Amino acid sequence: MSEPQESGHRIINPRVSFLVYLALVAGVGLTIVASYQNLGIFNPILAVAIALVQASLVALFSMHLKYSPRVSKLSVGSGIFMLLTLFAMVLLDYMSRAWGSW
Amino acid sequence: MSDSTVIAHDGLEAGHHEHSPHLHHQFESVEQQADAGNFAMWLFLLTEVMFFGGLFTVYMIYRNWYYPAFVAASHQLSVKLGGINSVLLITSSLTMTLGVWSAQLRRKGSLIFFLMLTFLLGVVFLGIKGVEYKEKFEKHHFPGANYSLQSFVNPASDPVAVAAGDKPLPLDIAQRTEVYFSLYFAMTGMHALHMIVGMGILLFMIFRARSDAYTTGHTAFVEYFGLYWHFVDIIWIFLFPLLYLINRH
Amino acid sequence: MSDTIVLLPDQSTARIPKRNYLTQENGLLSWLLTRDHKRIGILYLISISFFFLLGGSLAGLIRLELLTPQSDLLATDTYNKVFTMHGVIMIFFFLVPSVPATLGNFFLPLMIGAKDLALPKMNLASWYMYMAGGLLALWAMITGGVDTGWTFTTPLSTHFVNTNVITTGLAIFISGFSSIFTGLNFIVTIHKMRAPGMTWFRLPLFVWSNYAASVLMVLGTPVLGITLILVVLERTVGIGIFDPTKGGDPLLFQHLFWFYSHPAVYIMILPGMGVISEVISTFSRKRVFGYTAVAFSSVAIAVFGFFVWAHHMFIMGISNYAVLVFSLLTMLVAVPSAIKIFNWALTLYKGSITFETPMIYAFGFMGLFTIGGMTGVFLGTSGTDIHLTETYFIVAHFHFVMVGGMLMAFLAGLHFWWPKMTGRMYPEKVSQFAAVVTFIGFNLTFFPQFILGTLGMPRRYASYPPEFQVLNVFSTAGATILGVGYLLPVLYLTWSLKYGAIAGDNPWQATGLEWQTQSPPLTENFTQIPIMDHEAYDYEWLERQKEKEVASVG
Ligand SMILES: [Cu+2]
Repeated sequence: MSEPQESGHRIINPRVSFLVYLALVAGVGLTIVASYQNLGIFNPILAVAIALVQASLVALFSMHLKYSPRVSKLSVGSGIFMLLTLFAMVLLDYMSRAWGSW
Repeated sequence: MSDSTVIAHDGLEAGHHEHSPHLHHQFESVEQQADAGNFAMWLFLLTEVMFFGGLFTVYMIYRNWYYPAFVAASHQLSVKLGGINSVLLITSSLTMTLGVWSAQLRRKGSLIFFLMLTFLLGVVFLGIKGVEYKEKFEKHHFPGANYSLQSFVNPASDPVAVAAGDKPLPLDIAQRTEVYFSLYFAMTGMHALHMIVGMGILLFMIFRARSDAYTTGHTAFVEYFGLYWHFVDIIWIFLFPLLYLINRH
Repeated sequence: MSDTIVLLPDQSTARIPKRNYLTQENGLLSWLLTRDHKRIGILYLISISFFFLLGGSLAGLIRLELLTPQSDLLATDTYNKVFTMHGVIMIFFFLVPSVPATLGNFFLPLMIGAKDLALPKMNLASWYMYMAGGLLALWAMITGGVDTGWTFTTPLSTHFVNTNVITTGLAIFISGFSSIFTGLNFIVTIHKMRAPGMTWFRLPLFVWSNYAASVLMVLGTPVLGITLILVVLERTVGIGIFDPTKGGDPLLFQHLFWFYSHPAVYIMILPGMGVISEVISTFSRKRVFGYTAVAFSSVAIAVFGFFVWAHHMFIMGISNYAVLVFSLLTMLVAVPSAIKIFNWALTLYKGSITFETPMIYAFGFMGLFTIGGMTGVFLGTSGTDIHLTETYFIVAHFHFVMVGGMLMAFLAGLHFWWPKMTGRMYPEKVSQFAAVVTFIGFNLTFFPQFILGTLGMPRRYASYPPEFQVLNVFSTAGATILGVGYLLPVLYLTWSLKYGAIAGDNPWQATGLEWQTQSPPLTENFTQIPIMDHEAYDYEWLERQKEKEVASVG
């Protein structure tokens, strides 16, 4: 069969997938361990940071975002932007409703 | 293919594209079709991001408003079960990646194997989720008319609360745990619903893969489903620390 | 110089082309299972017209009830249901899909030189989702209706009413898929399916504005979806996310609801603005003034549109600081709309203007939309908003934008592209008359409502103090005229399907690619994929084409 590979995308080497997998599992372990330490305000920040790293790994490698066309990257970017807009503009109201109680 | 420049297709070439059996009539070339499909899938995931984004907004507000209630209610969840589920879902993401890889290398046997493995991991995940839900129902932690504040106003009566070292909450704060559980069920429920839909599609793909649907060069469907499945994984990656791991120390 | 640009073929010899998208296949199934964007556009056109007439009749009932100060025609709770269903049907089943799903579906691929949308199956699914949602909403209406207002404000919708909130909410949720599918399809198509030479800045402005609206549909609709799901869950299982007795915040519902529903007004108006750009350019024989500015203003409206939603909540109890910020941002969004109006005006300047029906509607749009937009600035100003919101002022404001703006644009577009869709002309004199009647009827209906609002007449009540009656009678009389204005097109457009003059390929001598193919078009749109070798709205190019044709025929 000499048919071209339909998707022009790169085939991801399973080795990369395994490395990503190990990093993700390590991330789960790390969040759990971190959550049992008293880090004060940094507890939730660290948890979300780890989740963000994990999510980026999944998006970039498992979902091939790194090798996807620019518009696909753009749509992810606009999603993040809109999400932050939603969070920020709602917070704008809630935080200023009661200064200092947040 | 760049967006801002002229798409350099030669109109005269039209005849030569008809060779690929997978090319739909509206497209000029296989690359155009693949690019369009990939982009469409990402746009669909964008809508999913906004869908869950609404829930995360709600979570953000109430977690800050009712932090003590969220802490106590979150302690009712089992980190062990949640952690196991995290690993299960991450593993199913891996097997899905390997499934896509098998399809691209046209290995039918291994494609079916990995799809079934992915399905199986999904079943176990939902099974564990079911066990967790059942426990919540039995303790009347499902929001609604039967909601019980027992574990929060009188933590001594509840071994789980004792283990977490919870102090009794004043009634008005304890009542806010219902908001937490509303969110817990809404968020994990929506996530589970996405998994159930995904598993339906998995079954369909396993069925179709047996007649070589994806192992003769036409891998787009498996790839797009892979994107969806990874997305569901990403949602859980955020749900796990946000719901299970509030102030555990 | 003649007073018309219409150029029809010799009627004694002209024929509708034998092979076209309408004659390609026959039978009901060939329509219900079609993947052809043009046929799906027609399916949408028929169903949307049905819902428009339904919503319009409900509006008639409302105006009839308001003829007298007492609630005599309708009981007060029936009145609540009637205005709610009027809003739900008009917004979710008419305005949101109106231009994109009908004219956009039909013409977007033609305008960019593609054979179809990128995802034809999803396009058909979109229509089925629309119908499923629409029928469910109808069912909810027949089995008792819903009386929360189209905004489903909590805790009213979750606790205090006992009507079909769940069914209606689900109906809107389902129809949301249709809007997401359409938007997603348009975005992919515009990015990936443009003909050779069709660069972004050669796209017709109709395509730009539909692109901007599609972005809003894709980003906004899911948030509405999850919000309605939460309301439904609150009513069914009793979760406590918006329930104040359980600690929920009803205002959070409004934040999420308006996060979609403010951008939704741009989903409704942007495609209409695209129509106006096409019509104004064609009937003044000039390239749209400041093409780039008009194109980018659509995108700017889409982006700014997401930052202003809380102007619907100024009196609801959000923080004063938030009021300040949202009020300021609301002013900003007026800028790109004004850019459009000014650029259209400058397009007209020194143009060879003719007054065919689409142009009359377009003029109506420009005037009424400007009034509607300017009164929006009153409402965006937090001080005046406190006085004017929840009165008839706001009713008049959004009807000026939506009916005076969007509906005029829809009718402009429908008349403009009717010859292309059907191959036949509508009767010009009657339709010019109908356009004028609509304009007069509209002003008589809604202008008095501005005055009623400033006098303090609240919206959403079946009865009112007797001193408001005179203006209400004007309004109701105007609504009657408006009704005639809308019924006329239904009649003569149907008539024209059989008896209209043969239109030929390009009756308006317009420049868009959709006019360079036969009417009605072939199923595959073009005999061969066109190559775009000129800028948009290049009337000199069109002249040269005509000369070439004459030369080759001679
Ligand atoms: Cu608004």
